[in-house]
Amino acid sequence: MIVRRIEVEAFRRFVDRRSVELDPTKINVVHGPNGRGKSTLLEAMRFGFLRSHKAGGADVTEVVPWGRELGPKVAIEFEADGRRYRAEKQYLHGASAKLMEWRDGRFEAVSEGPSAEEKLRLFAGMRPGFDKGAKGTDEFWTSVLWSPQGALELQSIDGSVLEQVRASLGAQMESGVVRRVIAEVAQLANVNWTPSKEDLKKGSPVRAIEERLAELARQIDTNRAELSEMDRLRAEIAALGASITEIEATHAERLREQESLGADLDKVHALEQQIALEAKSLEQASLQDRTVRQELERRRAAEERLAELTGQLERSSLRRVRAGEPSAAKERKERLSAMWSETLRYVQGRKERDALAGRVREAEEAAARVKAIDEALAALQAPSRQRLDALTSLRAKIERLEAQLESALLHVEFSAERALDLEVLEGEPGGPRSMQAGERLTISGSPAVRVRVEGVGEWNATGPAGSVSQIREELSRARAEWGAADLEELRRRREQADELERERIERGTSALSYLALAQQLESMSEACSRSEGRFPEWRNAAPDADAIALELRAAEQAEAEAREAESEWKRLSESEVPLRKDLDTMQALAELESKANAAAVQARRIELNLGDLREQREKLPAGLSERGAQLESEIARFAGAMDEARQRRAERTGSLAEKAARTPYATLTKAEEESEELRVKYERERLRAEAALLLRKTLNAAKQEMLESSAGEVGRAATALLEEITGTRLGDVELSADLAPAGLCPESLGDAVDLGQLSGGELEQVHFATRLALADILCRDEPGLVVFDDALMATDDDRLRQILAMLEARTAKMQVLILTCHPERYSPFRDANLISLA
Amino acid sequence: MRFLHTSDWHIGLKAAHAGQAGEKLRAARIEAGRRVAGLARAKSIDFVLVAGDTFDSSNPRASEIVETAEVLDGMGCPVFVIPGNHDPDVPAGVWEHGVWTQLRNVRVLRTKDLVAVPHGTIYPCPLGSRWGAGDPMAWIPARGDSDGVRIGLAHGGLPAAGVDGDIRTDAAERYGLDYVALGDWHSASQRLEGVRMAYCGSLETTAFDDRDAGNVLLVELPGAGEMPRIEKRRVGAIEWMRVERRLQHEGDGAALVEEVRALAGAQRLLDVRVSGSLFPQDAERLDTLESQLPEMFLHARLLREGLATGEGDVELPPGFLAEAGRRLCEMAGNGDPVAAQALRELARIAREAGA
Repeated sequence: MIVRRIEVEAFRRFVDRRSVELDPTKINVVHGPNGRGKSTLLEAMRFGFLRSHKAGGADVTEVVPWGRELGPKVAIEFEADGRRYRAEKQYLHGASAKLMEWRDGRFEAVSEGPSAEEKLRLFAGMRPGFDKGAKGTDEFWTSVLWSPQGALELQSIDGSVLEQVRASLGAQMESGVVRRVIAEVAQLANVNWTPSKEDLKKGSPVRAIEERLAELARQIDTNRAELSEMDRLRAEIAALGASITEIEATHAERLREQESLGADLDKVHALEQQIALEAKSLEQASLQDRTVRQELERRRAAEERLAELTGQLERSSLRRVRAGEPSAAKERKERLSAMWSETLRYVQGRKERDALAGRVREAEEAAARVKAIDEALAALQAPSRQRLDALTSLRAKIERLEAQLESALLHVEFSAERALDLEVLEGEPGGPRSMQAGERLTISGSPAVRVRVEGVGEWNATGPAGSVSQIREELSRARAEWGAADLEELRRRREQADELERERIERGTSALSYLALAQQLESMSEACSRSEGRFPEWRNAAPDADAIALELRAAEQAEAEAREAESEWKRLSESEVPLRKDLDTMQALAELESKANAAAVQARRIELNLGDLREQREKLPAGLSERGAQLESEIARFAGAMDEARQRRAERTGSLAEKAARTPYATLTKAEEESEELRVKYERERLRAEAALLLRKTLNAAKQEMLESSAGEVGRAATALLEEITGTRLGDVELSADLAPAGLCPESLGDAVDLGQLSGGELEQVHFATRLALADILCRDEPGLVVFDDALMATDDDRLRQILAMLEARTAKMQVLILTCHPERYSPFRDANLISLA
Repeated sequence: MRFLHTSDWHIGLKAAHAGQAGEKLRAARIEAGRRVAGLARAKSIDFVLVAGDTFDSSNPRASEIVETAEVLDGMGCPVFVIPGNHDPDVPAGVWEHGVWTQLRNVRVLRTKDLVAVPHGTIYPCPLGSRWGAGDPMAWIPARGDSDGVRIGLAHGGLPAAGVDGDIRTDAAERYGLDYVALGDWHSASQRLEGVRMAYCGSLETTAFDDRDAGNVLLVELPGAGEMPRIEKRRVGAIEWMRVERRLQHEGDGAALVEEVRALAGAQRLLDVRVSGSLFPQDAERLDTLESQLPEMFLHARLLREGLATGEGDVELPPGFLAEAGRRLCEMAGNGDPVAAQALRELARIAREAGA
């Protein structure tokens, strides 16, 4: 695509219509100071080719000249596929899109609206089917060929460009043959396989066969199992048949043996029946014999009992007579009991009366003594106890005063070694006195003792002066009070009087009870007199209570004996009555004895008969009966086993018939036949399906590998261009999978250098080289417009010249448009189309 | 004494190897039975001996039992049938069907009890189980004065190729029999002269490996001790054919296709086995042939055993198509049948796409 003319109106700074003519074969340099609309021209071209006329977002409204309500207009005339076109678009107000083609000397509309815009996007590099309409933001190859202001770096490359580059490198991808092959292979594989995964699709032919085969396999398994079960049942039925045959043979054999036992067994049975009957008769006869004998024994026992009872009754009657009437015995006992009670009272009363009489006498004697004691006390005149105590206290006081006086005096003891004469001048004993050798003299005095010894001297002893005189006065008063009293005599009288008074107290109590005792004695004497009135002999002597007691006990025993004899007699008499009644109901002794004898005879007779029968039985072969019973049991057992086996065989046969009715073999036959048919078909279809899948995978893998190699090819081209720019080999340009420069790998280093480590000029040259390499590829079949807006600002003049030369060399393949505010930098272009926006 | 010796009708045959043609094969066996009946009536024979395996299993469909019984009863003479190992006399088996007691001519010999026929005696050796239980003829008593012609009727194999058989090779001499009518082998005895024992073979061919099936034997015994005269009569209608070819050159496939087309027949089963190398054009022809086989034959199948496909003249455009073709070719060369098929498909598609 070559752009011939760009027209803008009401678009940013271009309020009025402005057009720019581009030369298709030269370098076009649009220059002018900042703000003159250079970048606006690039923006207008984007709008013209890429933006939907229906768009109304911020990116559209911001291109409207400030303060105006205008609809921005863009018109671009261009050449593509050998034809000349004109695109016209208006936004916002009167939005429209129109594509016109130059025909017969003028542009004729060929498409309008979305259809026109889709065609324009196709010219911009969109691949058929990629159109996203008004919402699309894809820039197709313009993302590579058009470098916006200051954005030479290739950051992201539109997906469609990648496809185109790869397609261009792998030439066959775009060829109709290859597309048809790929489409056909995909269609072939998609018959059975899911597009993305290697899974069989639901409902695919191969899967349908697989499912049918699985169903048939289940049917086959089921029917084979059914047939196996039938075989098993048949084997079981056969085994049961053999078993039944065997049992039948044994059963028949036992029946024959049972028959051969025949007569002997019948005899044995008859004899055993007779023996059983006789044994039963014997048992009955024995029972009857035992019954009669028991009755006889009972009769005899009853008679013995009656005889014994009669004897007891006789003895009891005699005892009863001897014991007398119980009432008479009772009367005597009661009389004696009363007498014994009165005797006891009388004897006690009489004893008490006699004792009371003694006590009355003692009381009388005590009264006489009290009187004598009163008289003796009067004669004694003994001081009272208080008086005696007062005298005793006075005597003690005198003695205490005398002791105090003694301790208040000075005492001088004088021991004479020879006979001498002395005179006590002061002290007691005072006065002169002669002493013999060895004699002692104590002199007392107060306040001093003074002694004079003749021829020796005078001794004067002094001491503290006490209250000798006061003591002496008290002593004088006490002694005066005492008088001539004889304290010992007074004490003796007092003790005598005390003795008499104690006796008087003792006797006095007895004397005082005299009258009461006398009255009591009289009352008791009257009671005794009443008993004595009834028993006069008691007056002479008191009755013997013990003798009466003995008599009473004898009477009580007699009464008990009489009652017991009476009771015994009654009991015996009563016992006799039922016994006699019982005897009356019994058969007569003789009759019973006769019956007992007859029963014994009968039992014996049967015993003998039974012995004969047993003897006959023993003469027959032994164990016949047991064998017969055993045979009976075995025959029954075999019959049961036969029935059971037949029943089981019938059940198995029924089950087998049920299974046979389902004709599993025929079903199996059909299933196996269909399965075999399908298996062959399946193997063929499966092979084809797997082959289709393998074909798809192999094609895709080969294609993918080829596509992935495109980065390497573009990188190599960019490396060569970079070398051309720099005049030296900086290194290999390494591209990412999406063809953006990723690093530079100098030959001297093994590893790539990060682009961030390059200088600003080198960095933009790497990107320029990459863009140019991509442009070379994209413009291989159809020339394209390459735009650089204020690019290569960091590149030095030498390299810029080289770049310009490279661009000039490409004017045949690509149209170059440079937007710059430094036109002088592009002066080296010898034949540039300079367009000034100044 | 003239009689027909037949066996191994295998009514209700399970023909898995014949796929969906099984039903037709089963119907063909009944038809062959009818041809036997026609032969019996036409030849004025004394009786027919059926030496076992009348049915393919003990559990055929009731309709098959009844239809077979009617065919046998239509022989126009006494027909003596013994159970074989495929249809042994077992509980709830084929021989307990009520139809066998209602037939005029047919006697199913379920016990080892001799059967007197005019001028002779038949010694039946029925089988009571699917598996062999020793010599079934061991019960046959020694010759008696009034036996006349003694004929053994048995089912089982003779010892052959290292396989033990239930039937003794000297059975005729050992049991004093003038003729032993044998069943079990599906191919008829090769030698029919100067022998007293023979297999008549299956009524109709049962498998591709059967050599000489589809016959009955017409036996004539002049008298006791005389050698029998045995004639083989064809009654089968179905042909089982096998074609095995190794393809080596371009055009071999086309020749094979023509050969197969020439064999087409509604009563024919065909088993084609192809090996060697197949050129793409031939592969296409074979594919076409394979799709047409069901209309050409009663049943046919084409087995490509180790058949490799060459690249042929198909040119693939340079680039990844050629690369994919190269890879598939390499895999096919290593014996990968899937890759070989994929390569064929690629060649076909590329050709159709205009490469």
